[in-house]
Amino acid sequence: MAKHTVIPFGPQHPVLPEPLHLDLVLEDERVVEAIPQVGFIHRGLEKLVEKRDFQTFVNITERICGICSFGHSLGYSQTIENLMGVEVPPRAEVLRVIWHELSRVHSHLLWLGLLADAFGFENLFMQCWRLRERILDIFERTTGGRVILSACNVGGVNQDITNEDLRGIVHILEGLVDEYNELVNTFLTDSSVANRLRGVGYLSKDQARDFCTVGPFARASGIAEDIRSYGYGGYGLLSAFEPVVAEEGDGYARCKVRALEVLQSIQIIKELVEKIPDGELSVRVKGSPVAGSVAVSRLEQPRGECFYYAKGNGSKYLSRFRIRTPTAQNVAGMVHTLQGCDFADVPLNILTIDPCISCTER
Amino acid sequence: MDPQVFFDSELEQLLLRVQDYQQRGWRFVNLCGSSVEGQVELLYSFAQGKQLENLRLLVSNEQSVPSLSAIFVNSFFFENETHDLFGVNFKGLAPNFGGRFYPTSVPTPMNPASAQAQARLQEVEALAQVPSPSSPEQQERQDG
Repeated sequence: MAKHTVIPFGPQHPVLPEPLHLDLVLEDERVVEAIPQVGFIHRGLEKLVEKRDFQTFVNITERICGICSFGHSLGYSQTIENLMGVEVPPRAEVLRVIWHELSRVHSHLLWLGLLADAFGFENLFMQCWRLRERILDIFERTTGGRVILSACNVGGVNQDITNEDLRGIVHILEGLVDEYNELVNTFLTDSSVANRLRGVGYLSKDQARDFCTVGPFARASGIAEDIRSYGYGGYGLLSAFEPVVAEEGDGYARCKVRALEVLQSIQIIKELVEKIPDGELSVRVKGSPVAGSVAVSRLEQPRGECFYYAKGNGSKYLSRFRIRTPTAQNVAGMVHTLQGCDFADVPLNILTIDPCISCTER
Repeated sequence: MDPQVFFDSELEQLLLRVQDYQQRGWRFVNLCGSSVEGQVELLYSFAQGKQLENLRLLVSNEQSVPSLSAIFVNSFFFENETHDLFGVNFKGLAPNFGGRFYPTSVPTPMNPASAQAQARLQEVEALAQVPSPSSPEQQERQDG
């Protein structure tokens, strides 16, 4: 029997932007077991809901994570609106989707850059992050913030984007698509990329279903599930929505799904800019959630389905708020893909899941 | 808007109901604990496509809850989390981090009524009653 060695991996590692620790049990150069450990940045933000007004808590949800910040404010607002039966104005619904899809574009570009950096393609990394800057510029122009947007509130949105500015955003995105297609071409056809990603971290469709994986991780294994296809909020205005799916189930497929989702998000924004209705931006939410009232909500974050739960107690404070992030759901699948892989592939394998530990620990 | 479907369940029926979800092709979405008057309310969520259903049950601090990890592997993350933050004990949990999943400065911070939190409170109270040894400088000042 070969000798087993335990190698600690993380929480600080050049390829990991987030603090995740793994105890890797190796047999020669092959991983036979991976034991995950989180808890390095647990901040107890869910507990804070008991001491913050439910209307202002949206500002805290935005600060859960720097990448999914708009998504969390949107998920929280949606949940409270479900809890209190608030009807959001149609223009606000569409503006929310536009910011949310821009967030997805910037998150995927960030991830593609990190992936390129991880397999040593420095130039590709810089090109991805150069394009991402344009999305951050749009955020700054429309909300004043590049990371924390403070655009969403319970009942609607805080700012409008004029129709002229919306057309300007579409123009910027059209210019971005031309340059982005060249990068997609490199990611999907370059042999050096394929050599590092093909066959790495394979997860079959049945395994993806058994591990209840979500988001691009699941869609790369052939599971055609995307919460956006259920038409919540402004997504209901889309003429059609088909999730981006790949069948290979490996790192290359995850890269492909995310690369194509950027183009899909830009298409969504273009369609919604044409269809955006005029009208109010927000409705005033009066009163407090009824004692014992509960509500749930789901949202397709860049990393996958995010689940929110809120419970009222008759006061302006909630008695419970819960966020289940996509990474928490994908950890079991990620650990499975590590079993049997080469030690050298571990960093890249983890990166293809795009774990976000800030969101997961809250 | 997601459907707001909540069912109450008994602890004894939990595994049967979860197995039923699994056999019908539903997936496990979330486990959420809430502290309710000295007890813990557990909310299990399951989804299939657009459908979303939630099972709610109330457990006391002394009860052991059967783990879902043999049915839905990914539940281990949430059960370890609920154990560390609420003090709920899960039977058959694998992998079981034994309380070291989330290192917390106080036991079960989301459930102050748990047995672990109460034991810690008693320890702190007992320590507060022991007079602290004074430093040589303080002793000198008192004597002088």
